[in-house]
Amino acid sequence: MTNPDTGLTPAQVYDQLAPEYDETDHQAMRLLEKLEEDVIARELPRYCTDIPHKRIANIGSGTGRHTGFFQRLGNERVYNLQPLSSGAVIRPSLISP
Amino acid sequence: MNMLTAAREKHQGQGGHNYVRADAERIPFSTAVFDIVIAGLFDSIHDQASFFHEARRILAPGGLLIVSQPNIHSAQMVRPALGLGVAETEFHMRDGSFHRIPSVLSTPLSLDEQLAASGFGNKHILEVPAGETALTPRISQLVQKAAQKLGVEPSAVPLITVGFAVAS
Repeated sequence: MTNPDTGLTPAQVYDQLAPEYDETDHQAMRLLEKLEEDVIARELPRYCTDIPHKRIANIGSGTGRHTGFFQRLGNERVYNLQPLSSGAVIRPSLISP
Repeated sequence: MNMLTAAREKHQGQGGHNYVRADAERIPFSTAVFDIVIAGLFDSIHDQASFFHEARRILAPGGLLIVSQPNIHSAQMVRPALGLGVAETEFHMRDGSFHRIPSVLSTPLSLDEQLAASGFGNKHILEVPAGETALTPRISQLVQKAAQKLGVEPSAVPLITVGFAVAS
């Protein structure tokens, strides 16, 4: 799906994203991430245990959202997917579990 | 440096994490291979029905889906204050510009219905307030504005919505 305003496809947008946001927004993102992780840490035991051996797909990881969270719970093998959206090109070198 | 390279460099030597770049509506993993799928800020995925279908497909039966997005009630107040449309968010580009994209937000009820339609059960959807979390000055200002409109204390303003659901 091409953005009608910019003429860019999701893949083109993605390739131009800044890995780090500006400092203010970066702090805001960390705040939201902390809120999310507190809730997930609280609720997760209701659904599953043995997190270190779970196979985890982290969709929308950016450069590491939630990766450290699962690492702190002992899981070292998170499959992180940086999503695009409709119409994007998938690189051929994908890793599949 | 692009996002994928930045992510790999950031986590180099920190275990077996893998990073891939792909379309969230056509996830390039086999069927029933994950125990947990987590998707933060999934509002920026345009075709959410396809995404939920894919999340259900890659989860093993009994697997857990965790999703989060900005809370719709707060977004309706905060986004216009930031010059954004209610159903709009923006990405920060490497050249310093911003790229606006649609942001599809759900109410707890509509999220529950979407999850049920995609084959998920045992659902639990939470609207999470800031509570006592220390806010940045900019966010604090926006939260106070939202609190006034909602008629609640700033600490009670929901900032995010988090959903848990089990693949049936």
